[in-house]
Amino acid sequence: MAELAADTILRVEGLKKHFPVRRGLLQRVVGSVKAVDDVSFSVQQGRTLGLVGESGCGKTTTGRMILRALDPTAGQVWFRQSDGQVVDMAALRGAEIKQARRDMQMIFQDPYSSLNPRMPVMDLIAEPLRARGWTRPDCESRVAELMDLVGLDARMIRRYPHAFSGGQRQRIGIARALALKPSLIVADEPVSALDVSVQAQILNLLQALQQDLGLTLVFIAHDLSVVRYLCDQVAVMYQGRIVEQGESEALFTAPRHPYTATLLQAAPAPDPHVPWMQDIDETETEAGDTTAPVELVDGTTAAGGCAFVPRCAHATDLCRQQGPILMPGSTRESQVQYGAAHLAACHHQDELQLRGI
Amino acid sequence: MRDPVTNERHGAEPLLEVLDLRVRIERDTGLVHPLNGVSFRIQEGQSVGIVGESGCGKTMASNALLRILPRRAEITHGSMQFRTQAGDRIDLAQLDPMSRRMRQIRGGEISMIFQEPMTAFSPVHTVHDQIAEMIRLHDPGADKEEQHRRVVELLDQVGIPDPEQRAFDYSFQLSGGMRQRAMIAMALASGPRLLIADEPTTALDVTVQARVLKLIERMQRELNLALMLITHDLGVVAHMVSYVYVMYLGRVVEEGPVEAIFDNPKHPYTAALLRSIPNLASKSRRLEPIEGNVPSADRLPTGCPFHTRCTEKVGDICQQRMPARVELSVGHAVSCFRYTEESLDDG
Amino acid sequence: MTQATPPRVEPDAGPDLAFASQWRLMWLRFRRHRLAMVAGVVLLVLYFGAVFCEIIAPLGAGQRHRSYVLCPPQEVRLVDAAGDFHFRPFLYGVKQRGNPSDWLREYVVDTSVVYPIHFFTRGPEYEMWGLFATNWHLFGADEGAPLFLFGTDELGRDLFTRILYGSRISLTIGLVGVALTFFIGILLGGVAGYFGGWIDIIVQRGIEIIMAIPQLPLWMALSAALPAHWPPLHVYFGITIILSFMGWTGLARVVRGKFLTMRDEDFVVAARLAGTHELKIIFTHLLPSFLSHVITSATLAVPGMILGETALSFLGIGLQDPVVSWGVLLQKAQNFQAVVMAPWLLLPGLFVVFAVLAFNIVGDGMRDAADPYAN
Ligand SMILES: Nc1ncnc2c1ncn2[C@@H]1O[C@H](COP(=O)(O)OP(=O)(O)OP(=O)(O)O)[C@@H](O)[C@H]1O
Ligand SMILES: Nc1ncnc2c1ncn2[C@@H]1O[C@H](COP(=O)(O)OP(=O)(O)OP(=O)(O)O)[C@@H](O)[C@H]1O
Ligand code: SF4
Ligand SMILES: [Mg+2]
Ligand SMILES: [Mg+2]
Repeated sequence: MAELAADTILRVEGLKKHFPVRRGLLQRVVGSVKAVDDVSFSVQQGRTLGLVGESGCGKTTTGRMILRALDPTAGQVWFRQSDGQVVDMAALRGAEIKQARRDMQMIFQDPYSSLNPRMPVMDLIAEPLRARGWTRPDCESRVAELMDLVGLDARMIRRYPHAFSGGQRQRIGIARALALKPSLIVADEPVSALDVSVQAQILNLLQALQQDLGLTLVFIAHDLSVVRYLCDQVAVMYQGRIVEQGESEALFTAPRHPYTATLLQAAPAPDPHVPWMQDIDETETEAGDTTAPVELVDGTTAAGGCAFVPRCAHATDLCRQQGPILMPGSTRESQVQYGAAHLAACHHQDELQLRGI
Repeated sequence: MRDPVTNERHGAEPLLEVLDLRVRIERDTGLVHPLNGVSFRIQEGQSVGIVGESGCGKTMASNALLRILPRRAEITHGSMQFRTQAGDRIDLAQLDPMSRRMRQIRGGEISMIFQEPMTAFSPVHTVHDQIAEMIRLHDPGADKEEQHRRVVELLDQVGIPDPEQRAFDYSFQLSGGMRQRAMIAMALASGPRLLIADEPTTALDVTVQARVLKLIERMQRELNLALMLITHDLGVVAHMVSYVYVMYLGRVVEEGPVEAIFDNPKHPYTAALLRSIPNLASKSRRLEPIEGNVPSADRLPTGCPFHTRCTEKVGDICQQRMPARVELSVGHAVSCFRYTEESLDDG
Repeated sequence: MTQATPPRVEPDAGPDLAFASQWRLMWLRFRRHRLAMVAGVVLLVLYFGAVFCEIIAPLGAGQRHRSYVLCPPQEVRLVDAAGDFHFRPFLYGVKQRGNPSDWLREYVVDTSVVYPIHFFTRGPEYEMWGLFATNWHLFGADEGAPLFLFGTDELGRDLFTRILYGSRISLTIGLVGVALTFFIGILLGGVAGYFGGWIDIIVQRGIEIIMAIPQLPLWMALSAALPAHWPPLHVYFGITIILSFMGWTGLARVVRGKFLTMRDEDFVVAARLAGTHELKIIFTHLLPSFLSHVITSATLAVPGMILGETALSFLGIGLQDPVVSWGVLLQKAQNFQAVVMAPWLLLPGLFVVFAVLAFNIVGDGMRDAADPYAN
């Protein structure tokens, strides 16, 4: 298979999603939001990729395009199905998509809105099975098995979602995603909506499931500590693009992009002795937005250059004029020190001395 | 000098002292008890954190203070002694929520920053109008020019760029972080002595959160405000306050100076909570979740509220009796039978 | 190596609400709305009367009592003129004073004539639901008794009987009309909301045009267009169709809006990812999610239909005399003189008010109960 290296299960190539912006009475299209703009990454079998970034940076959109819950504007999503066949999710049609989704599933952020309140747990978890023609008794035993797997009492099979707490609902969502024994799971902020004390339950469950079932996980989050806990690799997104990507440890301890460093600095550790934001000027305001830029049709495009310029303390004229490309460091030292797998989209990645954690 | 770390139980009279506060809500389906005997105190100029998971009654406690409880909710017990600017002590629990006095204190001496600034601002008035209105309410003497000058000054103080212009924006024209800054400016407009911040940054991104929190910290320091910071984020409390109250199911289960709480948590809930959250600074540790779920406030467990999930239960006494508050060291107290002499045979 | 099976989450010892379906939760909520429950009972009684009107009515709908023209309502008594109590209810006779051919007639109670009321008795013959002929009635009195609970009209027909018969048409026209409305509304609204694009635009503009036409003149024009020689049953259906033609627009809008918002709900996306067929998603996820809202809207649309029929018939362009409906009955109360002379002719109006109020209150209760998952 030319499109995928042997140990790779998913490779996203130049993925884009532009939403039209409509204005006025006639709802004319006046521009587009570049929610995801030229995103590429790959995930190896059995590993966990963390997709982090602040709200509106395009994480959900990326995740949904992988599963083809959204149609990409451009790009490819190469995915190795369990039968060994490599398909481009972005180019599949009807029945083929359904076939591919047997092997890839999604866990949603909101455990309340993602479960139809009008269906008992049995029907919710069995939905992917029913859609593939399983008989009711078969479904029933599989659902009981799945509930057991995610730590729900199978006696609750006839209950409706309103009888479950947030954490339990998320377990239902996980069981449902696992129903067809997928090999890839996209988890979109699966713990953000949960109680603090329950988050660890779900994180540990995901980790255990991943190891026992050999799952590959694309884990979307905005909380870096959760990502560090769970992920092998991390991709940091900013305004619809990946700005830094690498092995989790390397990225957290020696960030190569100023934005990653900012994120790391800003997260308060639950420990009063760890210094936090000591040298940050809080009056410096939220210049620039994290959300994707709107590009108007009438030609007023965002200026070239790096999107992070308004918030970057290291910006130079080069940054303002020319957009950086996501690539490994170019000096020999950085090649040796960071390897070719640690990519950053910053002109000055080789010179900057950024603090990690 | 006041000691910012210990809660100074024996020192000067506190600015606010809440004792055994209980709130009950009537619902169609029955009674709910969101607060079951909450006590805390705040000294002048002190920053105090109230932490706990969703539904433990944090918002209820601050709303009870300001007497803005929901319909069909009533304070059934307890007192809330507040020392006013003039120096007299009044029990907020005894005031009529609609009275002039209460309205003067609410949004005057005590002001509040809400989680969702969108709901705190009216969409049909400019930010300027609303802040000026606060100034006018609490300083009727100020004329239009004086009001304008103070609005711009406040906006400048909270780090809004180009305040002369931004002042005439509507709240929905501001970004999330800006809106929260404007909210802070509004809260400071009346010259409060106690600032309640109810999850002020939960809706914000980390980088914005960091700056807004730093701003609150600076304002608190510069204006010598007492701060009551409500949050579920242990990271935020760790860096923002000097004294922490940990709440669970409408009760304070542990309180103490921030270092004591984080370095040496005594209550099984506090300890378990700290073990269950990932820490960016340390990867190796495995998370130990707290099993089970937070019971709902309409079906409270008997005895210690945490006994349904506690792994360090002393015995049957935990589910039968409510542990009393025990002070372990200066300012560090817990409510847990592991630290009392009491046993089931007593009494 | 890893903890493969996570700790079990125990089932709460909660009430059996955990197993309660949407409809049960809604019922539990609706039940708490006292007024709506009362109104619901009122509706049940009214519809019971409409279904069994032949049996409940003591007399025939077209039966004339020439000697009792415009006779006021008569009282059924348990206590006689002497103050004695009787277990069997009875009726006194009525004597006429004045000139029978004159409008100014007066009826006085004649305590010397006593008509006992019989239950489950034989009376005028009728055909039950058009199926079989019988003459059993719930209650009745001997031939010639002035058993006129609500009085009689100018042809001497018993108004109580006629109101009961009238309810059959007036109340069902609302239901049949709403059923039609429901069908058209869900179909067009659903198609518009689900497919979007130009279909949506056409349906939307259509709705707006129909909504812009003043209702009454259109009704009048349409009913005037019904052929005069049509048998009553055809006219009945004609009127129903006219009413629902106007009524579906509101419902279609509700359905369209719901479809649009629900199409991208998380659980619908989840169903799509699970591989569920689009049609099945519509029927198992989308429709059930807003059916309760639609039924509520439909309930609130019934009174409009009832009033519509009443108005058309009252104006003489709806149903016509041999057919009995509340509107037709009210036509008799059109002139002022009649109302002064025989105020009981307004009673059908009271029933219209009752029915319309009851429907509105029930609809209100349903609206509160329609979304049992909102807090
Ligand atoms: N259907 C849509 N139409 C138009 N714009 C959209 C649509 N969906 C998303 N966007 C925009 O695309 C951008 C990326 O959205 P996305 O939901 O992927 O962000 P995210 O990283 O998941 O954010 P969050 O952390 O808030 O979930 C945002 O600016 C959003 O406003
Ligand atoms: N209006 C209300 N009616 C009935 N119960 C209520 C109402 N508001 C809150 N409660 C209940 O009171 C309890 C405490 O709520 P409160 O809002 O104080 O929690 P909190 O600690 O602020 O949580 P969060 O972190 O979610 O804001 C909860 O169990 C909640 O269910
Ligand atoms: S009182 Fe008992 S149940 Fe409660 S926290 Fe202490 S040991 Fe646990
Ligand atoms: Mg998202
Ligand atoms: Mg709250």
